[in-house]
Amino acid sequence: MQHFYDGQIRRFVTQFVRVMSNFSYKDNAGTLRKVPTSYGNLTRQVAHIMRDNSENKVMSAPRISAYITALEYARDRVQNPTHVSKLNIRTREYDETDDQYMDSQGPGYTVERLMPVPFNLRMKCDIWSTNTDQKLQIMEQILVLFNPSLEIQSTANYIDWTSLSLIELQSVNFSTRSIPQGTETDIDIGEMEFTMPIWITPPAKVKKLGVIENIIMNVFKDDGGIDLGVVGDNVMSSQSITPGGFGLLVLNNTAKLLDEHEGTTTSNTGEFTRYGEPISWFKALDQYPGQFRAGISTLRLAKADGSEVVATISLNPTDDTQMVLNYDSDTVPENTVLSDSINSRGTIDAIIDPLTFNPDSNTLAAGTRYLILNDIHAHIKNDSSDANMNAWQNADGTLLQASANDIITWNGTTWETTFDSGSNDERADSSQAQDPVYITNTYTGVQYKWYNGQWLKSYEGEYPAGSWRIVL
Amino acid sequence: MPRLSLYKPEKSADYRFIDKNVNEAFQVGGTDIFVHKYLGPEDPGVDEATPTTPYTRSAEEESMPETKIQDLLFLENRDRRYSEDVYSLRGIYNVQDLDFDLSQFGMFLQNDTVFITFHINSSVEALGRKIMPGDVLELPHLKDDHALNDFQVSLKRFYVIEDVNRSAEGFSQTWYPHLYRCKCKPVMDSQEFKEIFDKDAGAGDGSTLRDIMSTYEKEMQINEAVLNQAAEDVPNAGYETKQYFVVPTDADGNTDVNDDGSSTPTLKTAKGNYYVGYLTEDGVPPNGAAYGFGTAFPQMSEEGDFYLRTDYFPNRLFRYNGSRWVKFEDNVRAELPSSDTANNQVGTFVNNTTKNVIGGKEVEEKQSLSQALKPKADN
Repeated sequence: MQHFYDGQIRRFVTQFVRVMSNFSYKDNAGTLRKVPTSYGNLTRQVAHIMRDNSENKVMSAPRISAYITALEYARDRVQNPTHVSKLNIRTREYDETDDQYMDSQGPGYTVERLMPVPFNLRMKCDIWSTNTDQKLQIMEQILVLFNPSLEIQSTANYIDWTSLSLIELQSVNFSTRSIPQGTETDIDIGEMEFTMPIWITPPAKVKKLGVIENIIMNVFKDDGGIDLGVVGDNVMSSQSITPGGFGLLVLNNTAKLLDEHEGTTTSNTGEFTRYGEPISWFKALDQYPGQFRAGISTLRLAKADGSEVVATISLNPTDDTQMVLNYDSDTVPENTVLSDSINSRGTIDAIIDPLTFNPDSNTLAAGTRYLILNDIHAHIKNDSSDANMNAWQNADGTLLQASANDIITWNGTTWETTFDSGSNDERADSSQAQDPVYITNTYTGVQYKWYNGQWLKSYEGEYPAGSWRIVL
Repeated sequence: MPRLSLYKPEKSADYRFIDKNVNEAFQVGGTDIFVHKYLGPEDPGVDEATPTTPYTRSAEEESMPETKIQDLLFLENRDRRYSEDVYSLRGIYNVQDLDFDLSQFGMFLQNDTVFITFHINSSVEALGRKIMPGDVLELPHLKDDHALNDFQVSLKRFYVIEDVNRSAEGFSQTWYPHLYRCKCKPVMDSQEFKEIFDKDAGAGDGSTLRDIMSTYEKEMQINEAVLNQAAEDVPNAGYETKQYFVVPTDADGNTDVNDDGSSTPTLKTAKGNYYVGYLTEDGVPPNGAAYGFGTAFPQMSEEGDFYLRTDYFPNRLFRYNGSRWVKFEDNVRAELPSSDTANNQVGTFVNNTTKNVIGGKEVEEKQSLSQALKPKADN
């Protein structure tokens, strides 16, 4: 068995001595003199040291002495010995430099407390006085405190459920002297006996605070059975409940909270617009157990395949509604390699509107790729008017025909369609086995995903409650 | 011829001859014993005197004589006066081995009773009266020069006389006594011998005999150390929760902060998600929120402001909700155990130094119940 000792009884004795301290008596001149109180079961060596190792030293009186007379198991207070009480505690952040508590949240803890063992601690308090009036002065001050008992605490620790007890006065023996005294005059001692119901506890467990961050409620069809398991795998509806029920809008390396019932509008280019009011991140952070650490705490965005995009986070110092994200590149989806006659890569050089952008093929480098937002030469008339459309011509004067959302590449002489959005529409259907297409715009660094017949930002966008989480 | 008899009705020349020889024997073979002469109990004063602790000094007496009794109920002389002068006598006693008796109060001397004999006539002549119980004896030959302390003076040995009678061995052939036999016990640093231990110890540093001779100072230091430990374990009644973070919540239980543009979350809800328990309220806002204090609410307050009213007992913390000050909590964590700010009966009834002006007179609030509003003599 490993050693443990918490000085529990020692603390109760300390407090008992405290209760019996600071009493005084007044002499005829009106001078108050405090009566020293100490523990009664002292050792011979200490007693000699107190006397300066001399028999000439004079004992002082009056004196109060307190000591343990018994420690008994309290069977009448026995409770379930295997009961474990859990206490969840959030602490304030502590500044080790200035040694002071901050006004922000620090680490969270869960403290598990095992049922303590009940005991009755019996203590005696002896009062040595040199005259009756002195004794009455001291006893009168003490006796009024126990009506019927006096509360006592061994610690001020909120989580120490064994710290509270009380002192009950059991009996008083006014004097140890016998009357008549006879030839010898013994010192006069008044005795008081007390009982304290105390608890002695084994060590507690202090763990990291764990709270439920996500509850997923699924409703299944009633076609379950033994052969299908208890429930079938056809989920009719699913709902996640998270702290605050916040959604998340991730855009341009910034995350903003969305109210539980707030939505967004999405443009063709994957731009999102919220219509609710900005929400402070403290509303969410304060509900998580632990201390937010800028640059270390992470935000995790769930992907469709069950994996997560991870980003370290830091709060915008001028706007606590914005969390700045720094993505872990290892967790971002890999670009889909698109091949053409020049190269094979998963990036594009720009997203352009072909109706307003002139590529100028005379200066254009071979291998340049564009994602186009509108059709190019969707309706060629095959007449002289075609000659005026010289912006999107090949070197031989033929015209490029491409659709919106296509990716086109200039190979030095002609435009090639590297990604044909028309032939990839089926990827919009999640039931298709084809992998989604991810490309990154090297001009902005933003990754896009071909989804539901349109290019959307790949991991940026709106995340409903339950599809994101914070690890502090 | 008169019959031969060593006894005579009067103290004759035989008696005087023997007495001189006995005295000489004490001068030659005895040891110096310094006597701190008991003068009588302290005078209670005319105003403080009661029938059982009377003021019995006559007009001719400068102070109460040694024959007076201070407390006629308990029959004890607690506050004793001793002569400033020290009287030197010669005494003889049997030195005996001592043992220490370890008690709950420390180390007592066992076999600590000594019987010292004095020559009657010379002691009466020196003291001006018969030696009596209450006289304190100082035995210079028992000085301890090597006590373990920091003082540069030796520790003296003091005894107090408990009983005095005539020694059987002190009766001569004339049948007249020549010796007093005094039963002596070690003196205590107690109320009775306060005057003696208040005297200067002669160390040259102003220290008193109590500082050097008594265990009192060391006992108080020990007591103080235990009290400091107790105060460290439990500085105030109840439980400390200032180190805990309180998540501010709204009525629905959701986290609630004032979106004031700063990065500091502000409590908006009075008591949501609070660390409740027995004696946990301390009159200080949670999470270290700022607060003012005083006896009147400040003007121009904003929602969420805290203010501690120190004119409430116990002090009460209020929070401004935008239109009125709402009670947040009381400071129920009293200092222990004897503070006059304690929010309990001890703090308000016993540790009470309040004075009130009633009817133009200053009246102490704390009064013994038997003395409160006691009628005065109106004759």
